[in-house]
Amino acid sequence: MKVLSNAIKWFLYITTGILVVATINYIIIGDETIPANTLSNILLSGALTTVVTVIFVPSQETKATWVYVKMLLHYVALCAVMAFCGTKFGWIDFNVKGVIMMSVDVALVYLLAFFAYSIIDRRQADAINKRLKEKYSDRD
Amino acid sequence: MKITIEMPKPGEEDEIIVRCASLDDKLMNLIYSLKSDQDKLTGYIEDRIVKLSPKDIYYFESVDNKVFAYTAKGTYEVHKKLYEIEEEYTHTDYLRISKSIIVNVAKIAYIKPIFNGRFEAQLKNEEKIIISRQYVLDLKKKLGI
Repeated sequence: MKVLSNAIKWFLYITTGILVVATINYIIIGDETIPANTLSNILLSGALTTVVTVIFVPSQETKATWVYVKMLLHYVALCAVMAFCGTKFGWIDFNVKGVIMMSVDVALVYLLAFFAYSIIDRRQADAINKRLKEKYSDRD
Repeated sequence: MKITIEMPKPGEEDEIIVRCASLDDKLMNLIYSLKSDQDKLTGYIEDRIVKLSPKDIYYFESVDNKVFAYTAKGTYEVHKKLYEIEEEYTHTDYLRISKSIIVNVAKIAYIKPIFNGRFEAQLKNEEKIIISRQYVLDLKKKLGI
């Protein structure tokens, strides 16, 4: 159940991130109307990258170094999936420039998702610290 | 809730009677907390055996199939499995926060998120321990958030 709720959370963050980056791309370099299937393609690529994320993001605690290795592998896997999706959906040409562009976009989505997570984590920590103070300050 | 304190007659044992329509979580936690505080744990250090009060323990950690209890006075081996401690102290301030650690929540000074998606708990004795992301929800539940 926890895996499913985490997957839904990741899907929402990633899909929102892809939507934000796609919007920025269209504003900067878009010179034509957005194809109707773009939204379903964003949802599909969001779903595929969520599967990759569930596989790579550690659910059990692991050593710090292994976490960083997993993050790197996760990023490479995301780039591969998004390069495939981008080529299939006609977002990029499958060449070095296209793959580099997609890797930059993936990095942006990655940063957006982690930024969102860091805000949520900070808020959770604040709420927990407030409650700890209320409940246990008399036991110091 | 009305609280009544009566003095026992000379020679009578101290006794706590809980009179309630239903035992809710709050009362259960109170009862378990009173009971667990009476039940001392046996700690082993070198050739000594020490009785440990659960409220004095900061956390339990499993290292190489041995379980240790960390207190302000020292570290003691406990001849119990981590899951046994977890079951025994479910209704108290103890909570599993990672595969190898059960912490006394009352001994946490504060927590903060760290970069790799986990949280770090600073204990009241200045020690730092890691809380796995998957246990944060349990910590919030324990604190009634």
